[in-house]
Amino acid sequence: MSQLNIDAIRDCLEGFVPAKIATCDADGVPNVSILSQVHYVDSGHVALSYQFFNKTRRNVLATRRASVLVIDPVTMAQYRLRLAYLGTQTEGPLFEIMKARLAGIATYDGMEGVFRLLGSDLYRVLSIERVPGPTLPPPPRRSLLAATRRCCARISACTELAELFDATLAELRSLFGIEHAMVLMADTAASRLYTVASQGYAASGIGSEVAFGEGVIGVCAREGVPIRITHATSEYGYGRAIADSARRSGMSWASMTEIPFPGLQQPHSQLALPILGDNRVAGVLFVESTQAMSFWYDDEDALAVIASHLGMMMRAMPHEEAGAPTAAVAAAAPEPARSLVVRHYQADDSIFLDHDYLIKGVAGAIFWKLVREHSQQGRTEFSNRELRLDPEIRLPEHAENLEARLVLLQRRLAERAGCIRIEKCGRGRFRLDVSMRLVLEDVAPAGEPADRGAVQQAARPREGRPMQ
Amino acid sequence: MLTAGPLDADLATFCESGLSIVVACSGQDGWPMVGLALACAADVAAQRLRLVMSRDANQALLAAAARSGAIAATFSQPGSHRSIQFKGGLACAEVAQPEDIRRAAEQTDAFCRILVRAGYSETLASAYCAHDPAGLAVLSFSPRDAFLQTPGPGAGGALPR
Repeated sequence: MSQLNIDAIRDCLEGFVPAKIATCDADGVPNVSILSQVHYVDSGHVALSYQFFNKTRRNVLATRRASVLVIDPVTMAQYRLRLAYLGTQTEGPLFEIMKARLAGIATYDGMEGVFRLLGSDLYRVLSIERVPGPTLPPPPRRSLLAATRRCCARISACTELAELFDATLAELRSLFGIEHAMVLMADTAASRLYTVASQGYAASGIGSEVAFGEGVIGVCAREGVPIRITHATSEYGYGRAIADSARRSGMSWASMTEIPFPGLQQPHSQLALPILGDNRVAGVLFVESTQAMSFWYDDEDALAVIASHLGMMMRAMPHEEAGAPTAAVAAAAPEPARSLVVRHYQADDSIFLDHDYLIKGVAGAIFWKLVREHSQQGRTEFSNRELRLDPEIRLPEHAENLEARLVLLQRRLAERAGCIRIEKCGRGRFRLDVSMRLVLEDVAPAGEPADRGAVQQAARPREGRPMQ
Repeated sequence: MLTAGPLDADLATFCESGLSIVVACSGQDGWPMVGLALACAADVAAQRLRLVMSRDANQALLAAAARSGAIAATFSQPGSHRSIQFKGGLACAEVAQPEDIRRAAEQTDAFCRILVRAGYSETLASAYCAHDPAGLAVLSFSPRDAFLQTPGPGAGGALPR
C-alpha cells in the first residue's frame, strides 16, 4: 500500500467530477469509460456503481483489475487508483447508500431515469498515485472535530428528553450552520418514524410520520446506516413517497390523519443518520439544505458521532418513575361554558379535537386514557409508571419509548389548542390541564361495538355526550 | 483489400471540438492504466488520431501504450453526454509539435466554456483545463473500431462504418 490513503482523498469521491475507469480484457485490450460513482467504504476499500452490463463489467469479471482516475472537486488534483475487484453486493446497507447517492448524481448529471444501480462492486485499493499537474490551493477548513466535541458536551448536560432533542438541533445550527433539521423516533412495531423535534421549517410537523424505507429518512431507518444525497432528486422526495403512501392506504382517511411532513420543498442536499439504541434503530437525525453539496463525507462523520451520542444520552436518561401511581383529583371548579369534543377512533387510536386531527397510535391511546380518567374520575395528575403498566396502551415490550411519545403528545397539544395541556409536575409525573368541558366519543370500527366507555357508533357523530 | 476505418468527418469534428478525453492502455504488468488527454487531431484520410496530453502526468501511460501498441480513448461532451470510444493499435508516443500546442490551447478553452455551462465555476473549470504548453506530449494511434458510449439504450454498440 502506498503512503497515500483513501481517507485523505475522500473529497474526490463526492461525485462532483465524474471518475474515469480503465480495464482490460483477458487479451489485454483496453477499455475506458466514465464512472458515475466511486464510494468510500473504509480506508482500504471503495465500491464502484455497477449500472450496465457493459464492456467494463465483462472485463472486471474476467480480470478483477481496474485503474480509476479521481479528481478533487476543490483543488482539481488528480489521483490514480489501482483496484482489485472483490465482489458485488445487490442489496443491503452498502447498496442502499450507493443507490441513494446515485439518484442525486443522476439528477445532477441530467441522467434521472437512466442511471439505475444494479450492484455495488467492492474493490480493495492497492495503490494511490498523485498525478503531477497544476492544482488550486486548498481553502482553509473549518474544524468539524472541535464543533462535534462542543456539541456533544452541550447535549450531555441535558436532563430531559425534550431538552435533549431541542439542544441537539440548536447546536447543529450554531456550531455547524445547519438551518433545517429534525429528530424522528422509530415505532419499530409499526415500521414508522414520527417527528418529535424540528427546526427551520414554516410548520414544525411534530407528529408527522415517515414509513421505514421511504425517502432518505426511511431508508436510513430500515438499513441502519447514514444516507446522504448531495444533489436534488425526486426519487427520494417525500412529497411523492407520502402521496404514494396516502394513495395505498385510502386517500380520505389518510389525508384526515396526516400531519404534513415539514421537509423543504426543494432540498438539494440531505443527510439522515441513524440514532442507535440497544442494537436497533431508535430514531433518525435528519438535516437538509437548499444548497447542493452541503454535506460531505466529513460532515457525515461528524453528525454520525452526534447522532450516536444522542442515542447514548437517550439510553442513559433514566425512565422517570414516580413511586406510586397518583390519583390527584381536580379541585371542584365552575363548569366551563365552552365544550370540546374529543373523538377517539379505536381502529388506530386516532384522536380528533372537535373536527381537527391531533394524534394517533400509542400517543393517541395515552391521550384517550388521560382524558377518560379526567372526565370519569376528575384526575389531573398521572405517572409515567401507570402508563407503562396499562395494557390498553399497548406499548411495545422491548422498545416502549414512552417518554418520547409523551414529548410528542405534549408538543402536539401545545401547537393545537391550548385548552388541553400536559405539564411536568415532578419526577415521572405530569399534570393534565383542561380548561374546557370535554365531550368524549369513542368510535368503534365499523360493525363492532366499542368496548371502552360510552359509545357513539356512527362513524362521524354530529353530537356527542359527556362521559360522566 | 483495404477496409475503411471508423473515423469519418463527423466524428473528426466531434473529437476536435474540445471534449473530455480519457485514455487507457495495458501496462507491462497487465494492469490497465488510465489518463487524461487535453486535445485531439483527427486525420480522416490517414485514419489516425493524435492525442495531446501532459507528459509528466502520463509518462508511464505513454511508455506502456508505445510498448503494447493497443489503446482505447473515450471522447465525452458534458451536457449532451454524447460519448464515443475508439479502440485501436499502432500507438506511438511523439514529441508535441507547435500545431499540437496550439490545438491544446484552443480545445481546452472550448472545453472550459462547456464546463462552465455545465455548472462548474470559472475557477474550477480553468483549473481542470490548466496545462503547461512546454510539457506536452502526443500519443497517436490508428482507430480500428468506434463504439457509442452515450449512457442509455444502445450504449456499447459499435458504430457503423
